[in-house]
Amino acid sequence: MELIFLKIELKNLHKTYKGGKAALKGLNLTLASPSLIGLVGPNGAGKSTLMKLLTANLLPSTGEILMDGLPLAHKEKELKAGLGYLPQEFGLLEDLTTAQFLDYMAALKGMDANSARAEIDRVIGLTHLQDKRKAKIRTLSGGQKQRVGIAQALLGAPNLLIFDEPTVGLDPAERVAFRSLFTDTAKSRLVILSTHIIEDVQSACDHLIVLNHGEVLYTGTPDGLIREKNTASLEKAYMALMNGRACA
Amino acid sequence: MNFLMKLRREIGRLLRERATWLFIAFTVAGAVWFCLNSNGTTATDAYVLTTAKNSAVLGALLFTLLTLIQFHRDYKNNTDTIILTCTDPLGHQLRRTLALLCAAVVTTLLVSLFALPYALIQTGSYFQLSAFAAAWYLVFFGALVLSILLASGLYMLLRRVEAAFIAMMGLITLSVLLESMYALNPSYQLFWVQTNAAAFSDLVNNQILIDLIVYNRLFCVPAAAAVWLLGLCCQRRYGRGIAGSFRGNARRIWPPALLAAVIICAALSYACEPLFDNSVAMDYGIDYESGTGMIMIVSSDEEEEDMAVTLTGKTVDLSVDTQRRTAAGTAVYTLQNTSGEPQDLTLTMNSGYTIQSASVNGRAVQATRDREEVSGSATWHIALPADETIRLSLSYGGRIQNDGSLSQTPVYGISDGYLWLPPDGVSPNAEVPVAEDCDFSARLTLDESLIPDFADANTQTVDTGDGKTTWVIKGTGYAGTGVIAAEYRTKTFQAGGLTVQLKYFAKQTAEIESMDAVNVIQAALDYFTDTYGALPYDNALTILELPASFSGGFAAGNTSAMDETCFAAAGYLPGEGSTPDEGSGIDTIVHELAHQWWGLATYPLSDDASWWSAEGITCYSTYCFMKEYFGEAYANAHFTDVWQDGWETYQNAFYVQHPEYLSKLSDDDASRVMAALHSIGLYDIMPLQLLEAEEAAGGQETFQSKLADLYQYNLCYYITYEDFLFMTELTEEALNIA
Repeated sequence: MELIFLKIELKNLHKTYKGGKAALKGLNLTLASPSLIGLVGPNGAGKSTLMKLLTANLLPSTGEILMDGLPLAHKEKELKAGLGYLPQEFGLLEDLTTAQFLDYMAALKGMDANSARAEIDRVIGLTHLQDKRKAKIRTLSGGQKQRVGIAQALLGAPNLLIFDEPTVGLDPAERVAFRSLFTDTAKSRLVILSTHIIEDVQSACDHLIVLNHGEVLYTGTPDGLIREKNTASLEKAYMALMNGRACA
Repeated sequence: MNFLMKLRREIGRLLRERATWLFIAFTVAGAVWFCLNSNGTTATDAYVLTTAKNSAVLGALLFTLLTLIQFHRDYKNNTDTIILTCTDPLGHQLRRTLALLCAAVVTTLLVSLFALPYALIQTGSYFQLSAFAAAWYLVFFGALVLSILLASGLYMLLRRVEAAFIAMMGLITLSVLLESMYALNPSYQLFWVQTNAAAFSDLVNNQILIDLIVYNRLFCVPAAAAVWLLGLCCQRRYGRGIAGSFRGNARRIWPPALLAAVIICAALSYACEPLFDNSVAMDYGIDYESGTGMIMIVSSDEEEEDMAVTLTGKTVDLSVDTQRRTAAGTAVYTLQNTSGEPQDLTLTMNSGYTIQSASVNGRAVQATRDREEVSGSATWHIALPADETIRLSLSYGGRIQNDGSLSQTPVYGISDGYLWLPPDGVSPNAEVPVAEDCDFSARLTLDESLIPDFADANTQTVDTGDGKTTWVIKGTGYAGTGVIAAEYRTKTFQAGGLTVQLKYFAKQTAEIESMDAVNVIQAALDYFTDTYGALPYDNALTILELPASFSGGFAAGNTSAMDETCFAAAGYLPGEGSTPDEGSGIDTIVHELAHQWWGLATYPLSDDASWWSAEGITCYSTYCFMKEYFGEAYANAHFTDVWQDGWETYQNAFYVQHPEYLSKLSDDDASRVMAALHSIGLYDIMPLQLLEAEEAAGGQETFQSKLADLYQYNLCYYITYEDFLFMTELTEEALNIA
């Protein structure tokens, strides 16, 4: 797969919601491809807000997001053209079949009919939905719908893939398979994985960002965090990081 | 290309949803049900227009729900979270709306599959493709389009499905209720769901009413598009509120630019609609003073007496273009100025016309128009020199307008196959006294298929050529005439000692021979002549058929006119089993014939103290004939019971019981309330009083005999209430029905 270079810089990024709740407080991060970045943190840490900012569904209160050196607000069209996004909560068009839904999404992403057909075959294969190709989405199980969600995000081999809790609802075997899929994809793309499941991060991500109360607690490799906290596993290192923060 | 590809997918997505087909199916089923259960005044009205209007209301309701479900479901289910992240949100909402419009097209085509053959079968030879297209594609389909635009626009604007739903229900209800809000006289452009077009004719082209629908849609579509575009501009983005989102979306030039453009279009369309004038609401009380509008004529004569300029001759040459629905002409006036000083000549002309040029004694002069318009007329002024003899030449023309303050249903207009021009739509009327020997002549050029009937004019010669016919009328002592023209055929017969010309629409040629209405007309004329006496003119009495939209009749000069539904007694409507409105058309025919005796040959003059008028005695006379011809049961059901109901309505009316509140209303509103009450007085209370008089006088025969004396003694004169009491030897108390 062709290597795509993409660099996203977050500079002093603040997001405060109406009512005064500060979701993000002065984030400074650089996210560059190829990489699989794990974004972890407890509920309310600001992960979903960061996702929405990166997908241009929200605008920052202050600070800026640069995409390849240019403000994201000026590159929204390019961002959307090369973005695959799976939100934590999403709905599908239940009256369509899997193939019809993917065809619909391919059209929205601007693919022509021929390339869409091949691409749909590809993502259906990647997400193991071959036997559900002609099934109406309303007949699929929760896990199968999650796979359709992942498939639509993968359509068109986007430059930037953002997954919010992608393995929720998947059985253990599927989870392993998708970790492998994300790892493979991240060899040539920038993939951001927001998750509660530390196991996913440990086994798949080459970079880790830990958020809490809208601030970055840690950024670096998962192994780096383990070494820093001198623990046997990433999960323990993460807990140590969170407890330390709480004690501080 | 990219947009079209996405649109195709959006349409495919929508049409694959079960909910979409459920709403389409309900709408189609509703339309079919309305087809099978509609009624109306004519076959075209019942099986085409009313059906489409009822279906439009249902369709607007169902497509509002479909639109709100489509927009809200994808938002609520977070489907939009995926979709709007990978595509332009504004473009997506545009495609979503266009897909819904395609569903409306599919629905309309499916409805047409039933409605077209059904209308063809039911209306038979009266089927008009233009009427069908207007009803189903402008009214019904238009309502679907408007409901989609408004519902989606309101949803995007309010972002709350329940608020958008309530707003839409309010708008639909308002549009439907407007039809019964006569007192408000709302503009026809506001009836966005079903329009206020009513009573399509079977017998003449309905273009005048179709124009009403077209101009309604020309306002409603940009107005609804403005709501939609405003909603689009406020489409929430980046987590911002309504104002922030508007600012964000307005960075792209096309949404706000388009919004401004459609707002301007809607405003221009509303302000520049050509069918009605801009006159303020008039005092209906004046029209009802005499029951015939005669008080206006009397006061007009009084005003004219003081003027120093007299009209001694007038020549008019008017040409009518039925394709462009316009008229253009020239008028030459000969005036005598006895003052020796310059004068300001006032002309009244239909408000849809303009004076293109004017010259006085060969010199070009300026004609200036007043801003105000009254009763469909505009006032123009021309400065006249001190010369004793003045020759004024005018060139004028335009598209005829109706009195918008009176009603929002057009009466006057020009169409291919039918036209009606009021006197000031034939030529400008000089507001000066007309000399008794004033020579009037007019040349009217019409399509050769049109046969005109001139009010107040009885000399006609014909000149034909190039598909046009020029009609020439000449007379003395008057200076204008209105004209009604259609593809008329004439049936001539004798009745009441007169030659009667029944001018009916050509489409009825086959049915007219067996029409019971003709027999009733003959019998009525004989009855009134035998009972009251002969009419005072020798020439023919004309009975003129009008389109159904006129809804009633009138009598003027030697003409009694009534709409086509009045002839329904002959059963000309197809499908006896599903005959539209029973109506009482024959009653109207006889009523308008009776007006020849009461209102034209004599002038029962109203006063402020009683309900005495031409209408009351005409209603009573009609009742007497109907009782003799159709029997007492018919007469009671169609007359006395109706009058009694009217009397009870009057007694229970809020403003009758609490007249002190009348003074708290605005002048316009008080005038409308009074007009409604006055109408009951003229048409219901006075006839009941005449029934009392009949009893007091010793029976119907005796009373009719006294009315005959009253008629013959006052022939061609006014009849006051006192004249009536004197001649019948009755007192006011004898007429008391309380």
